[in-house]
Amino acid sequence: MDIRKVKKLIELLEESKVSEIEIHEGEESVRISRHGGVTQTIMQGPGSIDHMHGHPAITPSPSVIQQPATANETGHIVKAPMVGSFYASASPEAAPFVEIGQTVEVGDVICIIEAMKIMNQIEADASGVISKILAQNGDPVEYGQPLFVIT
Amino acid sequence: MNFKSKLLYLLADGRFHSGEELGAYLSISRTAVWKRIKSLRQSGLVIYSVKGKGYRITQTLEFLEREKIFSYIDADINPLIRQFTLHTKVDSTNQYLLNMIEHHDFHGHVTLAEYQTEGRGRRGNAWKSPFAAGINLSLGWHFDPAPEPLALVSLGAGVAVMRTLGRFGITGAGLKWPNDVIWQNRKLGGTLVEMRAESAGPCKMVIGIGINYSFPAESNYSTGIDQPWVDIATIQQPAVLRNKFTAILISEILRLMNNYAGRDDCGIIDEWRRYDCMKGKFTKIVLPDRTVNGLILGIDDNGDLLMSVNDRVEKFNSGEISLRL
Repeated sequence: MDIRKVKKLIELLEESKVSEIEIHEGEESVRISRHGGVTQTIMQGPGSIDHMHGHPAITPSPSVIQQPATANETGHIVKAPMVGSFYASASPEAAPFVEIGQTVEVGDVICIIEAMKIMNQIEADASGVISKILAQNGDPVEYGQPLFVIT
Repeated sequence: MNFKSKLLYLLADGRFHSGEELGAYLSISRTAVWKRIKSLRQSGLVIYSVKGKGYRITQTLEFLEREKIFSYIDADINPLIRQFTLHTKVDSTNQYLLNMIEHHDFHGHVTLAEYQTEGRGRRGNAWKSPFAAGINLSLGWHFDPAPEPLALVSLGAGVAVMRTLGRFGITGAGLKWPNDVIWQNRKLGGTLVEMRAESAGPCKMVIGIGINYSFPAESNYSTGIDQPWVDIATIQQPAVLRNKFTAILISEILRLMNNYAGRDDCGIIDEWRRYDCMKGKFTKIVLPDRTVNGLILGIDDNGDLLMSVNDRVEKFNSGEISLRL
């Protein structure tokens, strides 16, 4: 399913008082539910595809669902704008873009998300101090997954 | 033009030139000539020196020239080029455009370099290409709205290279997901797309393409390339003109990005499938955290790689396919 459609659905849900919606589209389905302020997304693909790597939208990694940080976090959360692999540095040998305690300005590159050799340099969308880094180098991340907390 | 570039133009004919002759022309000492030769060698150029005869490069060089390139660019594409920058030397053509991503000159900006001091591929891997021996091209493009799926830009860049090869009658090359250009298990070229954007709304991309045009045989030694490579000059004899090849490559990448403009896939996925040179091969994909062995099945309609692993179909959107197990 088009990831943007899912994004729209999440936004719809967040704006509404509905706590869960499930949409079927051909062989695919998506269920989005809200528990205690945390929105979860579970997508099901066509039956032939059992597993997905570097693209955990179909079988969300437990870390996403059990991400307690996002519920009561104070500060600004930088979320993944796309599905892909999370990289903390420009190359395996390079120092990470940011470390905990570091001050960042809006527009500073703080990580890279890669899918299909497209390297997306993710910028800080708020100024402040990096107080949490919620993904590890090389982790597959999904759309909307929290990556950093800036306070 | 600096001394080093002048020196190169003198040597470009592939004949012997004595240190004395070169020094006289540049009004520098023979020792100064020798120092500059040494620095040229560090850019991957193979320069012979023979006592009593002087210096000679191992092959004739065809430098990129703006006027020549424009004379070969397809007429319908010419208006799409808003800016054109040709560097003798730059850190990286992609970086050059990334540095001006907020500038109004970004969209439709074509950048070329004879030599990149920090040419790069995926995940900070170095992209090595000796001086004036490859084609180092980057294009700045502003998509509004963002292409969907984004992967199409990556696959499309590979398709544009294949179309270019086709126009010169160069056959036998194929694509390794997502966009490495392979000829008989050797790498002919590659693409790196870099972007800064949110997932929704407009986005700006730098599409970088590197093609091995005519590498000196000693390139592994002189530049430290660590994988099997092939160049256009080896596949096609007599080799196509470097300026002309560059111009057609620019034309094809611009045509594809302009036609595509985020509407539908414009047949890119189907065309890509025709160039797939790994389908049906048993190999491995290297992921950030592990390696998976399996049979390559092809790509799905979103451009994700499908692989049969222990009789199950698995899907990947990142990773590096190995040419062999």
